[in-house]
Amino acid sequence: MSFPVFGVPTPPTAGKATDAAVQPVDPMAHLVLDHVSVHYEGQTQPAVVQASISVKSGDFVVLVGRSGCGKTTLLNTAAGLVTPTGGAVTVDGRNITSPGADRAVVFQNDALFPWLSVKDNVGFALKLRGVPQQERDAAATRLLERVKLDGIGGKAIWELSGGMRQRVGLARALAAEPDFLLMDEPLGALDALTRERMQTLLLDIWAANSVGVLMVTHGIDEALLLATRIVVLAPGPGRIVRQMEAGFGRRYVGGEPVRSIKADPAFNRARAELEDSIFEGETA
Amino acid sequence: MSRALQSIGRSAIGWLLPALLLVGWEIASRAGVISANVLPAPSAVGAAFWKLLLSGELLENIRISTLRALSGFAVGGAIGFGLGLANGLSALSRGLTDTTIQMIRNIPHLALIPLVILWFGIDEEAKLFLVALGVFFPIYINTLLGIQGVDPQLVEMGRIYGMSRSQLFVRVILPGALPSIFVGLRYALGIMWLTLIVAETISASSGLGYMAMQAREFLLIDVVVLSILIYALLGKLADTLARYLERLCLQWHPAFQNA
Repeated sequence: MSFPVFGVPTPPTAGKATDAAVQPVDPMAHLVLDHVSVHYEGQTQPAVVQASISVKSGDFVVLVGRSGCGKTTLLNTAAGLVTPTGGAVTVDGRNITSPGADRAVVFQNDALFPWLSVKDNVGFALKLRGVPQQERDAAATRLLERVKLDGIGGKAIWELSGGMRQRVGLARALAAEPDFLLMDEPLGALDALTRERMQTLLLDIWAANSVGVLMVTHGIDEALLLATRIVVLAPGPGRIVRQMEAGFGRRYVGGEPVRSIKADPAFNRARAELEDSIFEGETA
Repeated sequence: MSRALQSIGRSAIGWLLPALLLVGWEIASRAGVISANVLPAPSAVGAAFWKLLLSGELLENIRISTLRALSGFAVGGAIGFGLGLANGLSALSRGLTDTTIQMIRNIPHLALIPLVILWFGIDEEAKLFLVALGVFFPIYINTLLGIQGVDPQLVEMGRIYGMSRSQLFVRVILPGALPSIFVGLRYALGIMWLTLIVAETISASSGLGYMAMQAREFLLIDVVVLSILIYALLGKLADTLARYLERLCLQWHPAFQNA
């Protein structure tokens, strides 16, 4: 199967150049959803049927599709929160049946612990591993810098804005040094301006941490801008109808401004094609 | 410095109205507007206070009542908290006991006084039982609600971090339920004094309620009024302690900022 490649000017050479910016790691972690089906108890229709997705370190895979197409179910299956009724989820060949520190999760609702300070939230995973307070605080300071929130470690959660909370959630997810970052509409609750800033932050973090990302979004532009591969799902029952490669995120990481990427006619063509796949078979 | 003054000023303002009432009351009594047989002047109540304080009778009665209140609270609160936790965490336990508890809850516990007197006479057990029963329900219900109200996504987050059940309880469920548990605690403290005073008024041979009833027998209206004022102060004291504890434990909560 060959996927159409969007946004990479001259595929063979540009692909190599941008890969270097993403810092390929060794050993490479590989998360695979292999013909995964999920049929929730009491439901007439399965939530997802025979979905196969592969996420390697350095991949940025984005799930898009209309409501009820099983995006969140697939993400939760990858996280180990939902057990598939058919197929398997593996990381480097190991079967996944429960959540693990190698796969950090970020929800739409930040899900920060309101009774802990910002730095204690960020250092939470380390605390569970028995890392002493001083080291945790140092790690938290470093991670907060990485999400551009220097010097707010001592604040309470309620003092932060929605965008800041989501960034703290991201720092918390990175603290465990996961191989994969699983994000369920991480920017869904944010206003448009904050959202744009967060998109580039996500790309920066992805490029700097050599993680594999699996993300659910409703935003078509967002999917195009961030993804290295876009997985299009359709509802009734949820299934994958198309997977396509994209390279706009790599162009940003390679130094091109977002404004210029979005102004590229290739971006608009890709958007039109993606919209067609998403709304294919839907009668207006 | 000016901050500290402001803070003192803020707490002083709450005492302004009671102080004004006392002054107005004294003036009205002296002017003969209020008959001493209806309501003795604050100065007369103060004199009664001084007399009872010197004889040691007052402190002894306060000591006995406080001890009763606290032991009843400890017993009822512990059972309520334990059952609230059990029913919040286990569907089986909830299915087994919640219906029964809700039925008993709808009986006014003070309506049990005649039965309690028949069971325990006017011994300590009677008061302890009534206070424990009264305190049980607010603690139970608010503990249960608190646990059920913990954000499920926080629990899911805990699972993602691979927490064990006990870690999940200590680090996520309990802190999440704490604000609600404190609501129950403050409510229970109010019920604790109410129940004890009623119980002591009806059946006791010591304590503040008994002191008030004895005073009524001998038409010592100043002592009756004194007892009522002491109830108010003790209730306020209990509530202040609970609020202090609440603020200490819930510093992270937006409702307790700059309070």
